[in-house]
Amino acid sequence: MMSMEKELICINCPMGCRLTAVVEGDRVISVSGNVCPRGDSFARQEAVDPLRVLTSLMRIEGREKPFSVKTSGPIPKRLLFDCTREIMAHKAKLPVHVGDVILHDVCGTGRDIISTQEVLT
Amino acid sequence: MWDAIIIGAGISGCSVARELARYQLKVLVLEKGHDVCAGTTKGNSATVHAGYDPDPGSNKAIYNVRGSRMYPELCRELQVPYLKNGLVMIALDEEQMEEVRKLHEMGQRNGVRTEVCDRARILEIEPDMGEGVIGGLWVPDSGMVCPYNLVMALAENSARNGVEFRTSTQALSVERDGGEWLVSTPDETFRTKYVFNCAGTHADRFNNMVSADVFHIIPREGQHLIMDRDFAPYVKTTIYPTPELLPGGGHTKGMGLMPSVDGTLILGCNADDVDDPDFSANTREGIDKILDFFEARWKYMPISKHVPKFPRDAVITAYGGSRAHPDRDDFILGEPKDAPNFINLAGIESPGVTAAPAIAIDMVKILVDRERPALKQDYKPGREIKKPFRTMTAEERREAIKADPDYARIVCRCEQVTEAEIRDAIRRPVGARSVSAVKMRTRAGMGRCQGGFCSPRVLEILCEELGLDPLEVTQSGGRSNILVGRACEPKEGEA
Amino acid sequence: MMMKTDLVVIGGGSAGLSAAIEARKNGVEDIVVLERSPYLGGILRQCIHNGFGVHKYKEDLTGVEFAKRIADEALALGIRCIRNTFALDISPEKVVTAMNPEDGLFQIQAQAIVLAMGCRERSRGALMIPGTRCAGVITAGTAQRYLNLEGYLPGKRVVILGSGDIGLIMARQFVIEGAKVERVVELMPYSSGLARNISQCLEDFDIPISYNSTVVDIKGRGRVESVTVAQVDAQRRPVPGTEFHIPCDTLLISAGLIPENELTKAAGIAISGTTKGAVVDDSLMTTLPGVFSCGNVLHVHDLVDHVSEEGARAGANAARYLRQEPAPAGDQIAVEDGFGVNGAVPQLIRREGPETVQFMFRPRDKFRSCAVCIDRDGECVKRVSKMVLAPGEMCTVSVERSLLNTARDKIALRVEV
Repeated sequence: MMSMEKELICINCPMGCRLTAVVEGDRVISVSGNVCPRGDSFARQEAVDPLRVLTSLMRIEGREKPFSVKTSGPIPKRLLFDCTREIMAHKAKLPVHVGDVILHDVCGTGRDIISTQEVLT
Repeated sequence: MWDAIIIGAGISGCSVARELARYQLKVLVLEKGHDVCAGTTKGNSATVHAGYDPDPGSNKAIYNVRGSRMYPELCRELQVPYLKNGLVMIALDEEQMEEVRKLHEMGQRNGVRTEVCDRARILEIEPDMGEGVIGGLWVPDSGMVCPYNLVMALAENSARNGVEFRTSTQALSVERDGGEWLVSTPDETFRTKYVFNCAGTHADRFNNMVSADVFHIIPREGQHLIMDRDFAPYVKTTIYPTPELLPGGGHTKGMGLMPSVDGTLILGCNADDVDDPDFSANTREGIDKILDFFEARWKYMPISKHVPKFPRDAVITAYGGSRAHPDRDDFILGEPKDAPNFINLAGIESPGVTAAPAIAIDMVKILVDRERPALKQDYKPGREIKKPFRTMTAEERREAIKADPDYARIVCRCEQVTEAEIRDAIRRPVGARSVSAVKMRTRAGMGRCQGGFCSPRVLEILCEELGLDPLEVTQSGGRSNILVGRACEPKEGEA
Repeated sequence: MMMKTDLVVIGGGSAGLSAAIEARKNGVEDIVVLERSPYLGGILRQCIHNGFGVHKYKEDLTGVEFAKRIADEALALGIRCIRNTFALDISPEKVVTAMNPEDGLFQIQAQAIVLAMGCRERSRGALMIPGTRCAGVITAGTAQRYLNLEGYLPGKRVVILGSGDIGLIMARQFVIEGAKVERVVELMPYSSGLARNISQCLEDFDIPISYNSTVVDIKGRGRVESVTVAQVDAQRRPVPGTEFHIPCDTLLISAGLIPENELTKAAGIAISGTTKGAVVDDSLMTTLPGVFSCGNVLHVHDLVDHVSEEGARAGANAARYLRQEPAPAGDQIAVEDGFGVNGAVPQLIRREGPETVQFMFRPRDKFRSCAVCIDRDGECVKRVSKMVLAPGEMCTVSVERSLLNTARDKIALRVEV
């Protein structure tokens, strides 16, 4: 099988290491350019199915201004817009606290949408 | 039926409005902009010229000198800041000193105080004037004003005395009907006995509709830069290099360095003819012309002693405006012979801001001499306005907050404008209806951050005061909405 | 009526709160934090994206979460935070004049002050971008506030000038909100933002970026209708003939931040022409004894974690000052920017003090496989290797004081390629 090199920028920390992943099909053969193990595992994931934390706003019933939410962990990048649509279709109920689960298992990702903001009134 | 309709709410229109407001007359002001002072008067050098340089005997010379003498009292009456800081025209060589002497002579003929100075005398006036300045012309009666502040005050005072203002209302045509005039806007036609044509760069259009004595206005754009208030303390007087002749003959005052009444420095301006009468943009060429000019001459400016290199990063903003340059090279005033009761205040280019209050008196006199209207018994010459928070003493601030706690809420931190002042600007006669209108009345958003911090709060206050939805608030009327949609709502075309 | 307080902290953002917390932990009882908004947390309140706290809390938090955590910590320590309070003036005698609707205008005599007022954005006016005065020209942070705090979209078809981090973050959020981001235009040959933000905010969404380019005209009556972009030459001047138009309704500006030092200047404190922040020694003390500066008001940081860490140092040093530990003897050594170094902080080194001195600066350019050298009177006394230096990322180096304090003339930092 042909192997392919993928150039990546590590987004784990501000270092922004330039990584090279050698990929064969959906398998990562090797990673270089990383300075820490997090870079290695990032590249192995990123080269085949990139993951991202989604942060967004959500509406809340009975309040003019929205509040902020995030996914409880990284989700496949390809599902960002599907998850966004679910978030926008939903209205939370007062009150919300930091960490409250607003939506369970969003888009079958196994991740929840949780509040990152406290809104009491 | 109106006694008088004024087309245009700039310095000319609002000066006429205020003069007419003294009489028992029904007066209407039509302004196509979203606010009063939305055109030519908004963007100029803010200078109250003493009048030493217009051609003796011209309308410009007569009204400039008269207007200049009216300013101290006018500004006192309307509680508008006025700064009589004097003007120095600097000379770098003997040739320029020759020009200085010529201008001095012109000043004498116009009845304006001027003085030919050697370097020693210049240093008495502006102690830090740069090396290489060998002398110059001292014009002690030159001053500074904030033109839009003055126009707002004139408009407000007129409204307080019964003049009606309609903004966002464009006069399209004027026509004779019997002994009267019909002024049409897109929605309505008004009948009036008198028309005052104060339409700035559009004044030729209206004149040429009613008179065979046609003239043309050539819009001439001028751009300025504003420098941070940190740099203002180093310049006391208005400083102009001795003018260089323009390629086409004649001269403008050229580029100057002006300490504004608000504690910033104004730099400019260029003078280039344009096609668009509503031109108020900045151009790369225009900005570069000013930057290059001052970069090259910085060493002569008194500020260079403290800030040796021209501080480009101290520029906080640029602005531009079109001046109404007439093809007759003088203000075009009064009635055309074939259009009775149609009164022109046209071609009011520099020194228009200075001259306008004096011109208005003579133009209104045409109506008054003919119609003999009665004076208003309850005429109020001033306006009710509190001092800006930023200029209050600690004691005044304490009192102001006690009376209205909103004075303790700073909305614009750069210019220290409080919530109380912003609410007042909206509630006043001819009140603010847009973010820009609030800015023109209060200076909120005119400081170094240029509205980055305060505009969201100003928008919110406009909503509260006027019962608007945030999506309806505009920067400056029309389609200049600031926000375009609500966040996190399903978008159109999606389930 | 004059209040008396040991420590006044101006600004309740991450720098100010970190300083207050650390001062309290170091034994300062009497602390007042003045915050102009109704909320604590500063600009973090509008940062709904993640990537905060990786250093400080070892957790990937959103800005909103970070803000709450640090505010809760301050309040749990019983630190008095007065909100809706605007500081108008600081005198050279350390009298702070402030006001709020409840207490009116009041004055506080402080023994020590920590300045933590943050920064503002460079505006269209300061950049002198030509064009008409239409609506839709907005700085990235203001747009972020409209969107995240008020819930309104300030544009639907966006061009971004400058590749600062807030602009990049906003590019992603505009896309998530269904708006179209046409292009990012960057004057320099490199981004002024973090590499990871180029990757996860632009590349993830196929947003193109033009380097060596700028906006030379804005067209529109009412709202923006288009902008004109042109390439620039080595002097950063537009090259005629390279212009192209992009139809859009918004020009978002993300072209630099400027420390807000109006109060600092009022107190007569020396300001650095490079950082636009106060001149400080290695205890973060300004030229006015007892007044410290930290966070974005001192110099513009890349990461909140660094802001918070610097705030804590300022707070600890303010506590030390209040305990009246004897001031270190001797004069102070000036620090200079050498090749590749922009705005090294601190600008002054005391001859005595803690064992290590920490320098921070912005690289002037992008460098790879390089080193940061510390020269004492022209002689290199320390060399720290760096894989990558970029203007978007703050560079930090720690140096033993013993290597520095024998300098007769000066210390210089430079990049060696």
